[in-house]
Amino acid sequence: MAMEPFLTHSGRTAVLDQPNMDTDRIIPARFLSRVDRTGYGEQLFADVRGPDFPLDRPEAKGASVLVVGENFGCGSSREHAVWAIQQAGFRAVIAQKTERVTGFSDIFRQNATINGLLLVELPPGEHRKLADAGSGAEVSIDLPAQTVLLNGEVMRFDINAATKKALMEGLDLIGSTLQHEEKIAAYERQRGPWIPPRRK
Amino acid sequence: MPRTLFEKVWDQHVVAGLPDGGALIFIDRHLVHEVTSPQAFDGLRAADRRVRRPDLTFATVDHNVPTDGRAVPEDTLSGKQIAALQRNAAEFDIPLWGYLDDNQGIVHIIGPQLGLTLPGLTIVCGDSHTSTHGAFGALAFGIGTTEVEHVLATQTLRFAAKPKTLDVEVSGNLAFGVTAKDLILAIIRRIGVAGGAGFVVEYRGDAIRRLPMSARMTICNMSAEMGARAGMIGPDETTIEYVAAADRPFAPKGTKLKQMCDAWRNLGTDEGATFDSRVQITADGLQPQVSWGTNPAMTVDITSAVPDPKNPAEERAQRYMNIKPGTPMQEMDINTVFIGSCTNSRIEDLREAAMLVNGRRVADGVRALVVPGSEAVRRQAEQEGLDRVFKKAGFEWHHSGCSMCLGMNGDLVRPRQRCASTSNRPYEGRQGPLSRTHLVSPLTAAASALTGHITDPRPLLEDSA
Repeated sequence: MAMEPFLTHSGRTAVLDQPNMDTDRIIPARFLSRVDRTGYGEQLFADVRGPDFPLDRPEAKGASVLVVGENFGCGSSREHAVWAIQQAGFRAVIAQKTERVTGFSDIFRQNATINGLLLVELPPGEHRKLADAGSGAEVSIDLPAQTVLLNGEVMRFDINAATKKALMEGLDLIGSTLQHEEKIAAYERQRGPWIPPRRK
Repeated sequence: MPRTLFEKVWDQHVVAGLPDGGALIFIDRHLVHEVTSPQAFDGLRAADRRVRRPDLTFATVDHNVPTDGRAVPEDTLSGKQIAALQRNAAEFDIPLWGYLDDNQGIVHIIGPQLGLTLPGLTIVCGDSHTSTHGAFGALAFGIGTTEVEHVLATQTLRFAAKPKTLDVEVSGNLAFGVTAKDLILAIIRRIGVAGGAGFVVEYRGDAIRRLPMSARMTICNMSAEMGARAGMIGPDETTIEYVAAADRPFAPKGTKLKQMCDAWRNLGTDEGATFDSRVQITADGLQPQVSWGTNPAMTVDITSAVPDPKNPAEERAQRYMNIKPGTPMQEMDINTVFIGSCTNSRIEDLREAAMLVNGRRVADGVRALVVPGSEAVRRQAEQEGLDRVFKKAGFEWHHSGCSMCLGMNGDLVRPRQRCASTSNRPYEGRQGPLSRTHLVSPLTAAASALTGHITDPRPLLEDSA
């Protein structure tokens, strides 16, 4: 399935500045019993919502850029977490990255990229400016230039080159991989694994 | 050039380089379950693609199945999800161990048990605890649903970059009553919940070498809890003895097994190979561990107290858990005990717990469950009489599944109730809305069930001996 290409995006932020936000909190397990790929937006952060929850405050209404803490999306591999974030209207997530701690967990990062959700990692100083600006701040993200614009200030971010390309082109990754069909077939002939017996 | 275990397995599986330093990796075993696969099969159908290697793909139901043996009505959400996997497995010719089937169980319990998990393989599943299989020297990791579809269609996975390597070397000896669960909790406490991100961990050292496979699986299982995508342990004679056991129908046999064993003996990290990062830890003096907070690194010795919060996240965790700094962990009353999950539901875990429970009673007001990791573990336990030990003490004895680890199937910790759990994640709401989870070993869970509060198992064990 091809995803929507990501080039630039301007929108308002919702700030949820907590570290180690696990995917169980992003979408609790009891909402994973459906066989569909849509309809998860309503269930985003279902168990922690309420009048005081940052995403439920009036200033966060209509936000399309989610600003979070570090190691966001840790825990369960459920891709429903990415679907819920996108289906609640978000196009990008901005996390804090330090020398020691990553902005996003590994599996969440894979899931986001493959669905066209842009993940941006900023160092603590710049991340702090976004968090302090609070929900509702206007930001512009330019993926080709690798910049986030906030209040006239340009913040640069790093991104893996292959990830950037996949996001910008909205690649169908299965289709891209199948272009390697001959190499996969050659691997299977020459170096494929021992095949277990079929079930009796 | 000397290479690590991870590098050897990685190198063997590179199908092609991808632009910008990425790689296309061949997948040897794809394990599928009901919750993260339906959308992947729908994607295949929509694009008119087939499952490339049904002979390397294996399915079971574990996450949402009831563990009380009741029928699942087809018109419920869970019933539809189970039925979808049945249809998909039939349509794409994938073997499926269905609900209450003799070989059904938690996917990470049945893979090793059936001989699907072997040293040197690449193994994926739409579940973060796929790292469990790394205990055999396999490169095993969790993937999301779109990647499940990618593996179904291509039998490969794309990596944007090669993971880094982290050497966790464990010396010393685990003391009486201190288990692999306590060791991995102590390692996570040390490394932190994000410290392993971007890394494949290899657990090495004397303390690891002495562990049986069940304990090694507990260790590798929780690699996910420090953010690592995979954890591995080099294969040795302990590994080979497990794989060569008679009751592994999907493992190689005879001369084929012998050839493969020779290769496995050379798979371990070479002398002089270097890692990107390194942590050393000793098992000497380690106490039983218990988590106090809402992530697995918020853990202390069972003999100590709730620590002072160091940051807003820890303050939030203490509010959620309804605990105060300075309260001794063992004074914490519990309502629920869960012995199960892909971390601690193997026969060895149940034997340990039963040894401590034998002849004693679950405390009044405590709901205690034992949920074997597979139907085969359940049968084995029943042959050994463990079910009777548990039931006589007042435990519930269940069929296999993920159950109360994530509370998808109706096995829930009730709101604001406190659970001593052998599972792997004490997250907010993980075991049910507003549930409060303390991660412990099977021994500590059993001891806590008997007293009604978090309890060091060692004094009770000495009385049992």
